[in-house]
Amino acid sequence: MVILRLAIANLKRTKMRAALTIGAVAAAVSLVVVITSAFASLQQVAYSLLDEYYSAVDVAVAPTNNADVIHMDLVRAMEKDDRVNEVRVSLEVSSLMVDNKGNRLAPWPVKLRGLRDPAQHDAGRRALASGHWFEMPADANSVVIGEGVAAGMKLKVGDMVGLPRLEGGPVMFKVIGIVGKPDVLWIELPSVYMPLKELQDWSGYGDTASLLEIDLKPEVDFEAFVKDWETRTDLAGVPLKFKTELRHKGAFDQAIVGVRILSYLGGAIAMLAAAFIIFSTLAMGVAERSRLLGMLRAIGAVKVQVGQLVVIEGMTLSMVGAGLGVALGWYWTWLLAHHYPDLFIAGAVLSWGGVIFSVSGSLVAALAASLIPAVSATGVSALEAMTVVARPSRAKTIAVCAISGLLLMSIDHIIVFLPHMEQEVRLWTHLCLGLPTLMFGMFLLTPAIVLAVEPLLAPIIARLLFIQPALLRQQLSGGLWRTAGTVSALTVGLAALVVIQVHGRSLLGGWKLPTEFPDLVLFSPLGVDPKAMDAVESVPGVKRDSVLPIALVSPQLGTNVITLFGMMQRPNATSMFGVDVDKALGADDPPRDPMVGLEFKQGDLVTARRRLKEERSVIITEEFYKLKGIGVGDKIKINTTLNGEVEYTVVGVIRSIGADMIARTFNLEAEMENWTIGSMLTSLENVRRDFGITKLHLFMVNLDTADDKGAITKRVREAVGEKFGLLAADARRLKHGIDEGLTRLIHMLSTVALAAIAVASLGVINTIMASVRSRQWQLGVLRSIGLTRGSMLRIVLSEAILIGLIASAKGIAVGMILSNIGNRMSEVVAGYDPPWVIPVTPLIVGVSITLAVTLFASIIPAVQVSRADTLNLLKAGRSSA
Amino acid sequence: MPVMSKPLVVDNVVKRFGRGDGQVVALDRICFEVDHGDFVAVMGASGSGKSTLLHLMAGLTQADGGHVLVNGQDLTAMNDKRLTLFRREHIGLVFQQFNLIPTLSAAENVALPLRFAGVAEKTIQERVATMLGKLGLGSRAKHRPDALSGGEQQRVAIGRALITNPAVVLADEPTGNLDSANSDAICRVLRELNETDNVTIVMVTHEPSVGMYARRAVFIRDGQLCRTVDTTDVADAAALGVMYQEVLSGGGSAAPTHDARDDEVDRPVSETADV
Repeated sequence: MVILRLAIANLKRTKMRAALTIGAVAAAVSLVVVITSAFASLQQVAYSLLDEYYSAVDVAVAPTNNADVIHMDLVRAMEKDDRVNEVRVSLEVSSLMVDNKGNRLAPWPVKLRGLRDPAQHDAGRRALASGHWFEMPADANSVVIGEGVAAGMKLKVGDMVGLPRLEGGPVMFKVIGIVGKPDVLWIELPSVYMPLKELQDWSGYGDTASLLEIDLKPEVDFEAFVKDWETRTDLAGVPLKFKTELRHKGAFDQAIVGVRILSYLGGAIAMLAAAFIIFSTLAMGVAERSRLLGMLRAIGAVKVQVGQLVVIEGMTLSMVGAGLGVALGWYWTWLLAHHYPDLFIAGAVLSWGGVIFSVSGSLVAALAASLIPAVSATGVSALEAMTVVARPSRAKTIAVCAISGLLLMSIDHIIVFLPHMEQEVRLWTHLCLGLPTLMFGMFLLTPAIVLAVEPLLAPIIARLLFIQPALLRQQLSGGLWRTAGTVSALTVGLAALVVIQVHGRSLLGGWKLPTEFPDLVLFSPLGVDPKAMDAVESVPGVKRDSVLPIALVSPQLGTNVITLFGMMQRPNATSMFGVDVDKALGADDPPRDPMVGLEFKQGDLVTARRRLKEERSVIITEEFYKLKGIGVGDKIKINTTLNGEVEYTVVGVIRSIGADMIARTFNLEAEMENWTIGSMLTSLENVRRDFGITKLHLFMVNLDTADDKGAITKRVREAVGEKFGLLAADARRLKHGIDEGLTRLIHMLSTVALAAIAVASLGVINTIMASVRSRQWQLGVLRSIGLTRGSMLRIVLSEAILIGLIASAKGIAVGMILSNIGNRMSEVVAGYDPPWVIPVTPLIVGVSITLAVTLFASIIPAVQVSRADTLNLLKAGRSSA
Repeated sequence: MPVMSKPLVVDNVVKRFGRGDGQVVALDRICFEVDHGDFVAVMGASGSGKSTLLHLMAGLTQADGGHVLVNGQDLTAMNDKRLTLFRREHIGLVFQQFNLIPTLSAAENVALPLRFAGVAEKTIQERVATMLGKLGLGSRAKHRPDALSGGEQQRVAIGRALITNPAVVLADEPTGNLDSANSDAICRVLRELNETDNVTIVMVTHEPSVGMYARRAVFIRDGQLCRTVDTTDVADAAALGVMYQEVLSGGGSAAPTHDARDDEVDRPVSETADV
């Protein structure tokens, strides 16, 4: 109890310092709370929509391949099953919407949902913003549109909208109702509802559906029902996938796990910065109170009690900060929800996971941060009570810390670069042991860095600020540990920025399209027969015989896009591209150039293309090869839709062309479900045989580059888009767009690093104030012998500049080391060895922000001390040192 | 009848600082005993070794040779934890800089050693109130150090040193930070405690006026005890000052100055003079 009282008494004594430290913890905790709560709010929206769509659905049935449809024979058979209460039938296809002249109403496609009976569906039961739902047969040729579609296409009840047709003009429908939908989702799912029969007729799918939502009678075992019907491909005509509500949520949770981890990691960076500030505060507390601690030892406090005193101080700061942080985070979340109700339609939802993570994280961080100061405090001799001036840090301690730091840092390098280590072991050892020891090692190295760099930088800064160099000789090393803490806090933010920028850009930098690559990428939401694409070749400017049909399947489930950055999970799936071998890879007889130039790492083009046509064989990408350790001649087992597990022979290993990135750009839904990193190439025939693909969604086209490429692309888009609802894009522009999108993501992630730097600025204020406080007597003496107020101000500012420069240098170095490790881990986890890309501008911005923040944070203490009365400074006495 | 151990015995203690050619012998085979109820002033110039001797007696630093016994317990044989617990119970320390915790009240400062020892709160309250009353600080119990005069602060520090009823109180220049009026007041407090409560006190000082409050003054020079004076035999502080100056200037004998009490104890083997 007495220890707690002493700890609180000390915190009261250094109110401003305690307040700044609490502020740093509160800011970090609130950041975690607001990020995770915002995520939770959005997740809540998604869950409520999932509930809305699937909770009333005991079992949902869809074709395994998104392009396929289910024959209605299956529906009719199911409806005879005694266990079934109701089967809700819908057919979903995507298309552009046009006016009566065939002109697009919007550049984006809509999701057409054909409903057999709107009253059965949730959408149908929802109150309409205007109009009414269709009732057959009276309302044939009618549609109900979503609010987003109505707004985006400027439509109202009574207007006519059209769907493009291959032959003749568009089929026109009358808008008879507008249904509300959460705005947050309409961007992804702009929907148009229409009678099932109308959609079946327009799409040419006939007596089919793409989604069955089955309501079972009470007491029916869902899983048993699914087991009974799972294999009825004889009725459905295609392989089926069955989903229960539980499976839906499971798939959704799997899809967003990366985002969730990122939301926590983002806050964790700021919390790490706050931990260093706690360390800095405690370290300066121990250094300043050595005489007092010595007195406690002298009058009977045992070492453990002195250590407890420091730990309790740290924990108290952390607990108060965490409490305020949770309240602040909740307030921020509420403000966000208040200002952005469209994004927070479920209101402000507090993430209890985020609260628990941030509170427990801040306590653990405080405990860790207080360990070294506590050990240092226990080492304070009772003799310190008899001394007047605090002792400086011992060189031996600094050397031991530096050596320990280097040894600790080497652990992660050994883990990451040691050959012959199991990949899973390497990944988890890196995350759980390597990274923490690396960070701690870098911290232990900091005092030595400060000692080494200070003599080099201080004279330069002194000259720049017109200060006598001797006055800056021990500016930082006089309070070495508090400086180390503050430098480390700043380093966290800057290093995070460097890693996000360098590692992120390096990952992007590795993706280069081959010199030989089709000019245009076409995507058909409906899926079309390859022969129908002959029409494209008639567009002026398109090269003859250069439409390359591509079938895309993903044999296994993988993780999502965040894997690219986080590498949090190993991909366990691959993207398989089925191509027309002659067109894609060229041919000897008759001679034909390849449309796609492949860079072979193993095998050769001639053998590979011959064998692709002869057998079940694949060309794999280098990542896949590195990840799985298989090469030419090896067999790969692939789970196919129609023939189960079959073996494919590897006939070539190539450098990735990133075609899977392009393919997924058109289909977000597929991306969320099946993200993979490695990919493989096989023949169209193989994909058709093993996966039952009939209609294709992706095509690539070469243009006559003598003409204006942009104009031809526009012509193709207009010509074929109106007929098939096709989307067309220049492949290289598309890549550029993806690059830009991912770069924006990198910038967005970088804001978290900047937030950490902002948190660290509180530590700078703390350190400068402590430094000024400890040198009041010295400054008083200098003032009394003629130092001007301006010079004193510059002396204090120079300390901030020194801290900022050392933190910048260390932040860049740490960031580069982590980026190197990150690049190596991407090779280990994803088989992808990215080249080094160092974006200079963002790094300069990061360093500038770090320097600006430190300088800004030091202004108040600098001005205060420069205005202080000389006599008051002198009265502080040497004992303040 | 059980034989009571002396509160403090310094037996042939040697303390050196530094190594090789730069080595300094701070204390050279010092022998020193203090009886119950004694009040000894250790006097010497800066660097004479008087503070080092006090640190050794308090167990704050370890001797390079010899033994320090408090209540018969050899401090030199104790590890840090045992030494801390022993000091908490048997030794009271008064510092030159008071070393009060600024955010705690006078009463809370005095109570600290008892709280470290886990004494019951009721007992603490009673003992602290009694101690503050005895020191004339009853009305200042709730005041913080910054609201107290220098003399009052040092009285609080003395209270903190006495609260555990230690075998000996060791005071390091207790008046060094005080003006003459407060200095006298503190010295009177110490003397009164010695006379009325039989508190054993060893005080380091270089002020003859302060030394006069002790029963004995022990002069130390170049790490050796060189003279002991019964202050009752000295006319006044000025006379003690003359003796002190003689010692400082090397005029004082390094041979033992006989003390009547020497005959009452077993003499440790020493080449230097015993007190």
